[in-house]
Amino acid sequence: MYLSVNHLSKWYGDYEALRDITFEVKEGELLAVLGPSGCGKSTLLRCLGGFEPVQSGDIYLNHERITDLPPELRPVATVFQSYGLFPHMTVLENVKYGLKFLSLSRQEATKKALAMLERVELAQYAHQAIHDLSGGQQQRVALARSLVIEPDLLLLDEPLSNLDAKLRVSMREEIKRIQQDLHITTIFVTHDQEEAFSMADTILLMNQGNVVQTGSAIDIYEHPAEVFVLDFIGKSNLLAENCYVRPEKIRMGLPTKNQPAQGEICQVVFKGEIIEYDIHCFDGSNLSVVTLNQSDYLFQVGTKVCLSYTEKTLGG
Amino acid sequence: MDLRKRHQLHQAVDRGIRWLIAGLVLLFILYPFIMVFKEALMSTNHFMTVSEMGEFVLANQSLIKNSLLVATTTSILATTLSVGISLYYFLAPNWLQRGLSLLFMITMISPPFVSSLAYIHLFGRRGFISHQLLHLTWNPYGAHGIIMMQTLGYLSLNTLLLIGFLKAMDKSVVETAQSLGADTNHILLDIILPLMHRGIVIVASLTFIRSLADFGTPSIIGGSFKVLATEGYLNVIARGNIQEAARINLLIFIPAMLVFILYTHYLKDLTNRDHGNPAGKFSLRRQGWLFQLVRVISILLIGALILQYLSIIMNGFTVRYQGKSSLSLANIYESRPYISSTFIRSIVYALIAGVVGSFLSFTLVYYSQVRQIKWMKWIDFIAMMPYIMPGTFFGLGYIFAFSKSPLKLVGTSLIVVLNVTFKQLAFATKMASGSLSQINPELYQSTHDLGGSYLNELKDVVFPLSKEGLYVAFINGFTSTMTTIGSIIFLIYPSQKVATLVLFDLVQSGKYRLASVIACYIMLICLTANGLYYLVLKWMKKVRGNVSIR
Ligand SMILES: Nc1ncnc2c1ncn2[C@@H]1O[C@H](COP(=O)(O)OP(=O)(O)O)[C@@H](O)[C@H]1O
Ligand SMILES: [Mg+2]
Repeated sequence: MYLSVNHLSKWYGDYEALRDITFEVKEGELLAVLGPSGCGKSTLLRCLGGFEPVQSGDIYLNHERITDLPPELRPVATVFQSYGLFPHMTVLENVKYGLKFLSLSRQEATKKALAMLERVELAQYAHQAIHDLSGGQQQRVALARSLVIEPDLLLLDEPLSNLDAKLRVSMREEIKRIQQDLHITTIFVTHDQEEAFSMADTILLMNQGNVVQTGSAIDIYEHPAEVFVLDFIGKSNLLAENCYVRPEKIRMGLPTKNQPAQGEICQVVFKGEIIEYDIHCFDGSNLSVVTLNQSDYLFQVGTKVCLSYTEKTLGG
Repeated sequence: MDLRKRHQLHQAVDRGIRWLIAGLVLLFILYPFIMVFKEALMSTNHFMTVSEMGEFVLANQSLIKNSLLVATTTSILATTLSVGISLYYFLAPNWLQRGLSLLFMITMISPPFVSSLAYIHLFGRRGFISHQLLHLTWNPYGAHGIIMMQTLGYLSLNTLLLIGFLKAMDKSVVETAQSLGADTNHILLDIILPLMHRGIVIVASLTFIRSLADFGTPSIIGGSFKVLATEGYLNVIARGNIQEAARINLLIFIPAMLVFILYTHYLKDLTNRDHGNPAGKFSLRRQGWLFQLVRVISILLIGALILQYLSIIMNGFTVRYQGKSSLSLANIYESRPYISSTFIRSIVYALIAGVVGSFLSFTLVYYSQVRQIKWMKWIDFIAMMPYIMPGTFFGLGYIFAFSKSPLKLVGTSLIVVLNVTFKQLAFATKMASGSLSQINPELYQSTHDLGGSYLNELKDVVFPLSKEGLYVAFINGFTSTMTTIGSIIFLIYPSQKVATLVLFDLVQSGKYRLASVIACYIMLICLTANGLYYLVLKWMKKVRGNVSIR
C-alpha cells in the first residue's frame, strides 16, 4: 500500500487522543477523515504531518518508515485550517517558499509557482499581499503552496470550514478536480458528512479516538457498522436493537381495502425539494419518513397512511 | 425609589465619574506637564526666543551627544540581545521555558541602582572579579559602564515583551513552513524574525526612552561622563537651579517623544493584526548555526543576570575585614535604623497607587474604549503621557504645579502618592485597553436589556470580568512605586523618606553593603506581592473551574 498506518496511539498526558489507529490509502486516492468535533481528526493529521510525536505505532509512506521523521523531512505537506499563510510575503513568494528547499534554480522555481497559481486561477494576484485576497482565494494560495512542492501525501485540515456555504460547494469540486489532475494522494479532515460523501474515494469514520468504520460512502451509508455510525450518518428509525430503516426507504401510501392504515401523520416539515413527515403508528411507535416533493401534497397532518419497508440489521 | 428616578440618578453619577476622572487626569498629568514647558521657556518677563533656545542647545551640545550615544547604543544592544534570548526561549524545552520565565519575572523587578551596585561590586576598582579574581586595574566608570549596565537592566523586560509577541504568533504559520521543508535556521530567519519586527521596534523604542531618562546609572558609574538626565537632576539637588533643570528635561523629552510616535504607530498596527491560532508548543528541532548562536548568547547573558542578583545578595550578607570577606548578618543589623518607618510608608504608598491606579485606568478606558466617548479618548491619550516623560520631568512638573495655594501640596505625603498613582496610569491604561477588548460587547447590551444602567456595566461587567487585568495593573503599579525614584526624588521631604530614597542616599555615600541590604528588602517585598498574585490567580482558577458549566 502507498500509505499504511499501523496501530497508531497518541496520548496527551493521560488523555488517549488516538487509540490503535490502523488504515491504508492507495496512491492517488482521496481519503476523508470524518467524525464529530473533538474525536481526534486533527490530532491524526498532525501525527501524520510530524507535528506531534506518537507513543506507539508506525507510519509507512511509499515503503519508507516516516514515523520518527521531523515535519521538514517528511514528503508530506499540510494545509492548516487557518491556512498558515506568511503575512509578510506576496502570493507568489508564499507559493515559491517550499521550492527553496528543493534543488531548483530561481527561474525554475518562479515558473513552477506561476504555473501552479495558473492552475488555481490566481495568476493575476501573484504580486498582491496576502491580506488583499478573499477567504476563498487565500485557501487556494495555501493549496497551491502545498501542491507545488509535489508532496507524496497532502493533508488538509477542515479545508472548507472558513468559507461561506456557496463557496464551499464550488471549492469541493475544485479541490477534487486538482487532486485528480495531479493524481496526488490526499487525506482531508471534515466533520461534514456531505463534504466527505461528495469528495472522498474512501471515508474513515472516527469516534472518540477510534476508527469506527472505513469504506466508500455507499458502504458506510448502506452498511453502518454500529449505532454510532447510524446516528452520525444520515437519519434513521431505530426499530429494535440492531434493527433500523432509513426514512427515505419507507414507502407511504393512502390506505386501501387490502392495506389498512398503520398510522397517522402528526407533523409535516416542508423543506423544498423534500418533505419530512413524523408518523404516529397505531402500535405506539413513531417513524419519520422522507419523500421527494412530487407537488401532489396528498399527505397532511392527520392523514392516515399505510407504510411499507424492509428492516435492515446493523453490521449486516 | 421608582425606576425612573433611579435611572436618572445613575445617569448623573455616570456623568459625574466621567468628569471627575477627566478632571483628575488633566490636573495631575497635563497641568504639571504644561508647567514644565512654561517654567523652561518663560523667564520673569518674556518667552525664550529662538536664538536663546539655539544657544541653550549649543551650550549643552556635548550632553545631548552623550545622551543620544548612550541611549542609541543601549537600545541597539539590549534589543539585539533580547531578541536572541527570546528566540532561545522559543526553542527551549518546557521545563527550561518555565525556569526562564521565572528568572525574567524576578529580574524584571529591579530597584534602582541594583545593576550599578552589582557592577561596582564585581568590576569596580576593588571589585570581586576585576580585582580579586583577575587582578585587573581598569576604570569601570564611563560610557561603557553605563551602556553595559543599562543593557543588562532592560534585558528581562525586553525579553518578556518579545516572548509575548512570539506567543501571540499564529502557530500554523510556523508549522506550515516546517511542512514545506524549512529547517530551524530558515524558520527563524524567513518567518519568525520578519513577523517579530514590530515587536522589535517597540522594544527598541521603549529601551531608548528609558535609557534617555535614567539618571541613576550614569550618576553612579558615569564617572566624568555626563548625560542630560544626571545634569537635570543635579541642577535641582545640587545647584537649586530648577529652571535649568526644566530646560534640560525638555531636551530629554523631545527625542523621547519622537521615538514614542514611532512606537504608537507600531502598537496600533499590532492591534489589528490578522488572527490565527496562537502559538502552543512547537516541535522545532534545536539545531542549526542560528540556534547555537542564540544559545551561547543566552547562556552568557542569563549567567550575567544571575550573577548580578547573586552579587547583591552576597554583598548584603558579607563584611570585609582586613581584606578578607566573610559571611555575616552585620549589614542587616546595621540597616535597621535606615528602615524604621520608611518601609511601611513605601508599602502603603505602593498599595494606594496600585489600587487607585488600576481602578482609575479601567474606568477611564471603559469610557474611552467601550463607550466610545470622543473627548475621553483625549483623556486616555494624556494618561499615556507619563510613559515618555522622564521621571524627573514628571517630578519637576509637580513642584511647579503644586507649590502655590490653592493647590499647595508640596511637602505633603499626598503629592507623592498622587505622583506615583498618575505616573503609572500610562501602563495601567494599556493593560485595561487590552483587557476590555476581550469582553463581548453584547454583555453590555444585555445589562441594559435586563434593566441595568451604565453604572451596572461598570460594576457588573467591566470589573468582575477584568479581575486578572486589574490584578496585573495593581501588581505593576505596586512594583513600580516600590522601585521608582526619578519622579519623587524632588517631592519627598527628609522626614518622609521612602525605601528607594534611603537606598539612593546609601549609594551616594558609598555604603554599598547597606545599600545592597535595602535593595534585597525591596526585591523581597515586590516578589512577595507578585507571589501572592500568582497564588490568588491559581486559587481563582480553581474556584472558577469548580463552578463552571461545561
Ligand atoms: N495539545 C493538546 N493537549 C491536550 N489535549 C489535546 C491537545 N490537542 C487536542 N487535544 C484533545 O484531543 C482531542 C481531539 O482533538 P482534535 O484532534 O483537535 O479533534 P478534532 O479535530 O476531531 O475536532 C480533544 O478532546 C482535544 O481536547
Ligand atoms: Mg480539528
